Amino acid sequence: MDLMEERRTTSYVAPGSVAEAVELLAASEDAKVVGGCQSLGVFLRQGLIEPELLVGLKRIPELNEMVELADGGLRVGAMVTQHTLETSPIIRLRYPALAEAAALIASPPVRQQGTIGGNLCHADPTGDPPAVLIALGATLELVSSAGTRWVPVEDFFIDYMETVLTPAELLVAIHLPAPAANSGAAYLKHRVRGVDTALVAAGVAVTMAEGGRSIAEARIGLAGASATPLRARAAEQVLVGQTLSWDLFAEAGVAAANESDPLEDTEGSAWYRSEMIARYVHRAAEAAMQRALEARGG
Amino acid sequence: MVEAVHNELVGTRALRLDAADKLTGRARYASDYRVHGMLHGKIVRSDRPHARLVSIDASAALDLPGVEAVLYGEVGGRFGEVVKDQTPFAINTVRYIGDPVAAIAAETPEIAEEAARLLEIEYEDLEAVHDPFTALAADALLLHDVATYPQPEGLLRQGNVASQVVLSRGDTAAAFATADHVIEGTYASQSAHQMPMEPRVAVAEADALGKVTVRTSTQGPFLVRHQMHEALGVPPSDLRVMAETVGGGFGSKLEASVEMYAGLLARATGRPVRVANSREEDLTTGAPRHPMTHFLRTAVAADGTILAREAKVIMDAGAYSGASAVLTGIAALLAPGPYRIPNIKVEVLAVHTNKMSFGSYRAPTGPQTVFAVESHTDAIAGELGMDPFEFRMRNLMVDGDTGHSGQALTGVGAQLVLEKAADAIGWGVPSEPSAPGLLRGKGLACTWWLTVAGAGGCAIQMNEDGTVVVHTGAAEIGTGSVTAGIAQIVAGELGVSMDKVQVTWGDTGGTPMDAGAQGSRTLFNTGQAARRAAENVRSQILKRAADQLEASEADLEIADGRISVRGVPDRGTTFADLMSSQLWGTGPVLGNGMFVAEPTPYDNAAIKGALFPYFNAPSFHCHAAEVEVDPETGKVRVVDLVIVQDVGFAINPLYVEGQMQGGAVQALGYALTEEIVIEGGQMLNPNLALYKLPTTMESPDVRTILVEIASEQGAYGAKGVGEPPVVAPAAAIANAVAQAIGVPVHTLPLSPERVYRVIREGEEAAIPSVPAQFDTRPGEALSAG
Repeated sequence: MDLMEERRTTSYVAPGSVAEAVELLAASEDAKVVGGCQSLGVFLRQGLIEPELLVGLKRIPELNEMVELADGGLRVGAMVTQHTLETSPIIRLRYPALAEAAALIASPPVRQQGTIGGNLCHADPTGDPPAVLIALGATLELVSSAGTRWVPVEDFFIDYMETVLTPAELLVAIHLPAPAANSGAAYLKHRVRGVDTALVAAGVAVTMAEGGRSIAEARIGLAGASATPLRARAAEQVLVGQTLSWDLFAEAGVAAANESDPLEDTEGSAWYRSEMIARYVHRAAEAAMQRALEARGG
Repeated sequence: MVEAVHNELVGTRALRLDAADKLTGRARYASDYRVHGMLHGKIVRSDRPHARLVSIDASAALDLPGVEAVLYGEVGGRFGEVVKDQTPFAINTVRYIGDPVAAIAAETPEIAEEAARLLEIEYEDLEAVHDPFTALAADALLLHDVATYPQPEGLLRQGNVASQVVLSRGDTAAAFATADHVIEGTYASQSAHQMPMEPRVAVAEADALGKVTVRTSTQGPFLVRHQMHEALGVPPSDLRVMAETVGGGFGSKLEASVEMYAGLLARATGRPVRVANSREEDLTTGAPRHPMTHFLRTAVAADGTILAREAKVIMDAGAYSGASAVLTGIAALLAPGPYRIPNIKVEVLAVHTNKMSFGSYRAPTGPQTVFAVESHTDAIAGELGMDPFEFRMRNLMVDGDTGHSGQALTGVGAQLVLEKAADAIGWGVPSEPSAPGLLRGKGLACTWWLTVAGAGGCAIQMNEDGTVVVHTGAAEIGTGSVTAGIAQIVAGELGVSMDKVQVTWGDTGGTPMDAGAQGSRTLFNTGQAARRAAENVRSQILKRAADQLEASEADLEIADGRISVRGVPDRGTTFADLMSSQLWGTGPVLGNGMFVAEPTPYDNAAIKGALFPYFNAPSFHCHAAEVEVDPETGKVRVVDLVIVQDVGFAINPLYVEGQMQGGAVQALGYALTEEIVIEGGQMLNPNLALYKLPTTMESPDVRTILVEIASEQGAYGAKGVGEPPVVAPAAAIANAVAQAIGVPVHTLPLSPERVYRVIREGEEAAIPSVPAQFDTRPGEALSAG
């Protein structure tokens, strides 16, 4: 074994456009895309990965933009930082749960550098953006030299730190649908310390039936609930079509815990995470409902 | 000896001399130190918890271009703080994951890493012992051949027991037989790491004769030199250990570690060698806090008087003896608590396992033992239906009592600090939770603590401009003891301002001997040496001035660097004038001082096996906490933390408060989140993402209350300050949590999951599980083997 031969160097390029970036990805056998370098940087430093090529996105202006869409939705560029999501007036007004989730990520220095796209592609099951974006019904825009495809965020994650992205594909934007009338969303996170990733977290969005006291639509995203960010469909079904009651949200919490298969580590057992999923879905659903009722004006 | 003067600087909040350099980033830390032509060392460590070392083939590593040396096998000599059970490299056996097996010097850190991968090491795995209970079993595998190690007289050890201490007074059996109440409790506490901001790092250079100079981040240059002398097998005078600015220690930098490998590699290559621990190496191979289990049993009269205490204390010593042999004595003296108990039987065992050696982390054995003792104290009060405050007041030691090994106690402030802490936390006054559904609780914890004695010297020379250079072998590890405290003492004694004093410290080749920054000892001891050295300088200056001024020494006074005849201000001179005219003619003014505390008389029939048989200059403390618990998640938030500490005399209240605040936050981390988790000998959380230090977001504004009951021996009445603030907060927080949730807690840390489980399942879920044979009464004999 000639180890000197095996030693590799990693080169870095920063293309000026999406087209150029996907060309570079297509041409390389072993390239990694780097956004704010808050997750990838750790892996590089620990020697867990040693790619041949790093494709940096910071010179592509459109990836930093947030654009309002004709249908009332918002297109958020993949390089928009967590800090921007936390502080942007439009996010805080229309998607307060997203701003709140962004504010719960790590620490201010990390949020200044870390990007929404980088976070999603890292696919950490305890990450905050995936869970809240599942609740908000976001769609991801993936581009390769072959074209563009749109994937619902809950279908983006396929296994532990694994996504549907092909090596030649780039996540360029997140599409947030316009918030429905009579709707509200909330994101609540349980963690050991103020800087930690989630033990568990729940993003819940609910839409009230017009004029009634029943729930027309519900979406629930979970962090820390399985090997991937999880959409809690069974828990959603507990809510949909039901009239508001004290027990309803607790039932949804239990359903979410039942459909979860949490990881176990030095921070908490699977049992504890499961208990907390029930608790946090319950709490986040209540908070989301509160917002929905406020949106309706009482 | 000259007459004592009034020192106007001690007791003030004078700014430390290194403040500007540290604030502006100019201070050069050991990790910043580089030298031309320097090689990079890498310690190759065992990846097995317990194995026979069969062979090492270094040929491929040595063939790698850029590799200058590969050392392994029988190099140097045996070393160890007490028991000489270590060698620089494992010879036949590795005993923990991280045990040094070889060391490599190469042109770059990357080449050294690569060479480490090329080293072919053949092991034959042995059964590993993962916990002290297994190690104590009669048929346990023995981790050491004890008979082969030199060890001091008085140490009790056998089998896997590294050290056994038995503290025994009165007749516990009789007291238990007649007591109105007998309360028992089992408690467990975890290992935690000192986690200085700067991991261990050293640069060694060897001269043409092989004499080695090491620049390092250390708490005790003379301690390191002594261990290097043993480990390298060279005379101490062939070694010079110099402390650079130290990026934190907390006990992790008392023993030689990277220094000896840098020294060995520098001698082997003839080139300077830097050895720097990564964070993971520092975390997995250091000497962190001992995991401990306490079995406590107490006999109490109906009126709440404690009659007897039996305790059995198991410390996980890890692979090598290290500081364990010393620390068993401290644990024994803490186990009865700061209470007047006539009948005591305590047995402490430090037991070898296949883990890193556990050692001295700021107030070693204190946080664990006080957590157990003070949780037990609340349990007793609960059983009696007494208020925990009243129960403590009734039983705390007072002036005239004796310590548990028979030492006479004076200046006991135990009740005073408890009253102040209870008052500050609003004991007995319920407070409102911040949101509906949350639970509030308050807790108290009392303890006594010691100040480590140990010799220190100090030398002072006056410059021609009337300024002085102070030389001390003490180490400034960030507390301000040296760069504020020593400077204040000297400046105040000489009647000059702080800016007229320079301090050169921590150099075995350039400063007088000092026993190091351990056991809260620096200002207590070395402060006294500095005071004596300053008095010596002062008397010489007065003599010279008297000659020059043609006056009697007795008629002279010193103020602000000026010596004049009392009542005749015009007839005088300044230090600067005196010295500028005399330095090259009459010669320098050189003063020196030395201090070593007098041994404290104690009853040596009461304590066996202890190298630490009594508490030097004991001090009494009470810490109080208020917490808020979310019963639906188990999450604990500390909303208030009060540290009431008897500091003897605060030579600099600013830095004393800094010690108290920093210590309290360290203790808060221990109480709630910090834990070295080891499974199968492997640490599972060896980085700062998984090992959870507290952040500012978890820390309340720590409230500090200083009590000053002067010690008889410490400088200006000072008692040790650095350690007490970490001793009792975890216990206070645990008692507060227990009060909030209405269930006692028995195991640290109080992680959300643990607290949630206790709320859900009750006290049983909190009690540590131990093998059945240990579920015996604490007083029953438990001599291993």
